[in-house]
Amino acid sequence: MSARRRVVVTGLGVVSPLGHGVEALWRGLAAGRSAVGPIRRFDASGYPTRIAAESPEPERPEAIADRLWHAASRIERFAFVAASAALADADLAPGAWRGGDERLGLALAAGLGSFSHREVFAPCAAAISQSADFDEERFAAAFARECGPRIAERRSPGNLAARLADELALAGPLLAVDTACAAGTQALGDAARWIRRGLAEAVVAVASDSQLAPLGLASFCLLRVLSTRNDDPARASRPFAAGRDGFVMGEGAGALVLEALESAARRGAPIYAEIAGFGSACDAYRVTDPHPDGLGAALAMQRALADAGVEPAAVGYINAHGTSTPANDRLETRAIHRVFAATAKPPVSSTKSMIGHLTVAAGAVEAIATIGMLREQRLHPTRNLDEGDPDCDLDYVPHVARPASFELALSNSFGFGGQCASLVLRRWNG
Amino acid sequence: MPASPLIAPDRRRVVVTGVGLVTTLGGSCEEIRSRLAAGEVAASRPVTGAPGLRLATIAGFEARPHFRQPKALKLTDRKTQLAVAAAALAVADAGLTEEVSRDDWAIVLGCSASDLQCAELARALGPLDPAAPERAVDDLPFFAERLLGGLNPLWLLINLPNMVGAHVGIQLASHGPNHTLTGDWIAGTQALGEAWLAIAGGEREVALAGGADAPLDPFDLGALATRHTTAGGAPFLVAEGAAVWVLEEREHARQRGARTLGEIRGYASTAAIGGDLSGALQRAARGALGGADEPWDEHPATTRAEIHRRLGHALAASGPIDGALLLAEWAAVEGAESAAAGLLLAVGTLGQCAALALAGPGRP
Amino acid sequence: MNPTREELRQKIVLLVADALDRDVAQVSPQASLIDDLGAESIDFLDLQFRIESDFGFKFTDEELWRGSFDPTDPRWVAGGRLTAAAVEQVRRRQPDFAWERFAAGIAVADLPRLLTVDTIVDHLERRWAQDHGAPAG
Repeated sequence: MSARRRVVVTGLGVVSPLGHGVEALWRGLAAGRSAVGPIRRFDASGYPTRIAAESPEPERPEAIADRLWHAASRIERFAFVAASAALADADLAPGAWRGGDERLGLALAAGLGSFSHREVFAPCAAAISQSADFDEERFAAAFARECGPRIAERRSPGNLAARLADELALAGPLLAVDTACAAGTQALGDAARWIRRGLAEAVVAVASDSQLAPLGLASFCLLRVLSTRNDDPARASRPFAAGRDGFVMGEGAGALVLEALESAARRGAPIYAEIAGFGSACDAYRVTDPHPDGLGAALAMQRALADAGVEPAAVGYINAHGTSTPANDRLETRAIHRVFAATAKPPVSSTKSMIGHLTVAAGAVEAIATIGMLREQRLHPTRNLDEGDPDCDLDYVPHVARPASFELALSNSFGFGGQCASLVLRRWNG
Repeated sequence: MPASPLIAPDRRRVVVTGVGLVTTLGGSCEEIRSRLAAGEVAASRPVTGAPGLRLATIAGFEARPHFRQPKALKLTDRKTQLAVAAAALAVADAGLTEEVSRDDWAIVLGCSASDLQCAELARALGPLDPAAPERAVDDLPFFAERLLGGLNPLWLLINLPNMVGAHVGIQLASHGPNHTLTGDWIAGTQALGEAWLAIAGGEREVALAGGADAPLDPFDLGALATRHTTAGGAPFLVAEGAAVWVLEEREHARQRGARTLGEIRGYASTAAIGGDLSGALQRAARGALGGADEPWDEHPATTRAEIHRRLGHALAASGPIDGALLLAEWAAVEGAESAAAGLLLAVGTLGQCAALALAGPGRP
Repeated sequence: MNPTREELRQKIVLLVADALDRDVAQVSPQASLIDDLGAESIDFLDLQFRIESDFGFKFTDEELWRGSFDPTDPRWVAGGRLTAAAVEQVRRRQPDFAWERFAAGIAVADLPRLLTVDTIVDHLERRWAQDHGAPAG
């Protein structure tokens, strides 16, 4: 343990449904405010779910060239804003090192490519416009018309990682990772590993997503995982409550600058928190059903605690994945019981009760939420927990924020495919 | 930020004990090598609307025998099927029988992108009024009605890139860390590198790592076509394929008496800053070589160009395929105790690079 | 033109066998989709999609999977468990029913485990009658 480099957080950047910036997120969460409302970005009247947590339009950061910004998708813009803000917050904004600093890396969580509705569906419609058979020539012609020269780049999230690293002059290690809705947490674990192993002094870990588009919304509706409580948006996301009927889609990005402690100390950089440990696991059970005993989720938490070298009893709070789907919340509860079988169960709350599920970006934004709670020594609540579910029997900090005295927090993220990731964050007393 | 020397990590050694290949020119290094030696070129077809491209697919590939739970097949796209097959072949090649616990393996796979399945999307949109097909795009309530009524509800689960790693984990019942890298063309090489880090750093004893890609969707081909327009030369041969390596901590491999195909000695991946590809390549190579004070041969670029011209470029899978062939080449020339060493380099669409330092099993 | 029950059944057997990756011979009309044929939650989405595509029906989210018993009907469900009348009906309709799986009685949460090819066929017949005004042949 003593030989291991310690990894701390020295910069934060976020675009969330509660507004621009970290302060807006922390204030909104502490107040238990819901960011869920009717979908306004496009006409969702034909969908069974017509509510979501939309993020405000991002504004171009100085570090990003105007031309690139204009051609960028929503996922790309969110990522640019969050990553630039985190880097500036850490006082590592580019410019100081023209040509790139190879001690600074970038780890991006991003799942799907960044395409507009027209780019995908104009060619698809053209392909079947004249007959039921898919006409490859019409598809190709419409594709050439609709999709600009950056389409090959936008096809892969790996290129968004490369683009971000280029714009921010991060010439160190590079990675784009997808573990579905666990990816935001996974990217933090991968970034911390690089620093521990000496591959980088600091890494910008960024996770960005927006599936709030006609295809994205349809694909989640088809899986019947979204709440349809359209008449009561602010109360639709109700993790761990009886009568919960699915998650609410959110969108946004979170970015954290992780840095070697000695580098931060040398620079005199203010420290938000320590990344004390990380663990991940695969349920290896089914693609959407979680393991009936929460096996992967429990393994991820146990591995994160072991990585941090701490006992479960030392954990003062768990930021749950807490999606508000019937299965997730029941099995996450079961997994927490498994990990904390021999000790008091720490309080648990769900950020998603207020900002919905930011899919790939969720883990990063929730890590930022958890850091805020560690700093303020106050737990944000789980909103809308009116009526309890007998299968969800932990202390979920219902309704209102609660003062707490704690040093260590776990943050959980799980994804389709049985992907489970968990992060241990330690309060920084500096 | 003041300069600071990188801390030399206390690294364990990581050997390659098995390789699984599914390619247009065969399913083992021996077969691919002999077919390349015989001058064979993968069968390919032209790509509609893309004169600069040809597409090579794997004839007669059967995914079913490689799936322990064949019901999962309906949730997989082609690249995931190739990955599951390559993983099963790699495990067998490494002699890892069911008696060896696979509960704790790391699984790190790379692919270039998600799978939009445009033919499925188009089928769901139809039938359309030939005079006004755009209604399906612009009239969103109409669009929603068509998609919600006609699209396979499993579409998203097939589309998600992380399913490449997840399905390999499910089929092998491995509960270790499991992730899929989406790093464009360099993802497979990055996956080998990140898995190497996990073992070298003491987190895991065994990892399955590599890449899989099958850019067969018209959307993928359209995107690739924008980068490969004809300029009088031969068309770019894009291929489907997968390669998965079994990586093991050296003592772990020794204790179970495993045969060693080679060793990974270093890794780095980095972006091109300001369009400086050669700077990125140099940084990646330097990073992968780490503190190596021995001479390293560059991976013979001409040989790889020849592989890509004949077997096809399998995008994210190409690094792991080429690397496996390189290890086999050393073994063929110098025997099973080859002391050769070389760098495997991969470059992505924006000039991002990944470099892997490889050595023969006889390298001290 | 209405399909007979046997025709409906044959079609559903094929769809179920395909969706759950089973041999047709394994898909007996009274096999539990979950306990005998290994269906999981997404398989029900998949099956519903296949049945809708094949028959041109649209089902609401629950109707196809409500099975034989409406959990809100006091004749069939009381205190969260199937009533004696409901159990009697299962006994009559499914002579080979695997009672040993439900030693403690059948709870509401167990209802999906009672779904079979025949419960799908029952519902299709009801829908056919509703939509076409005449009972299936």
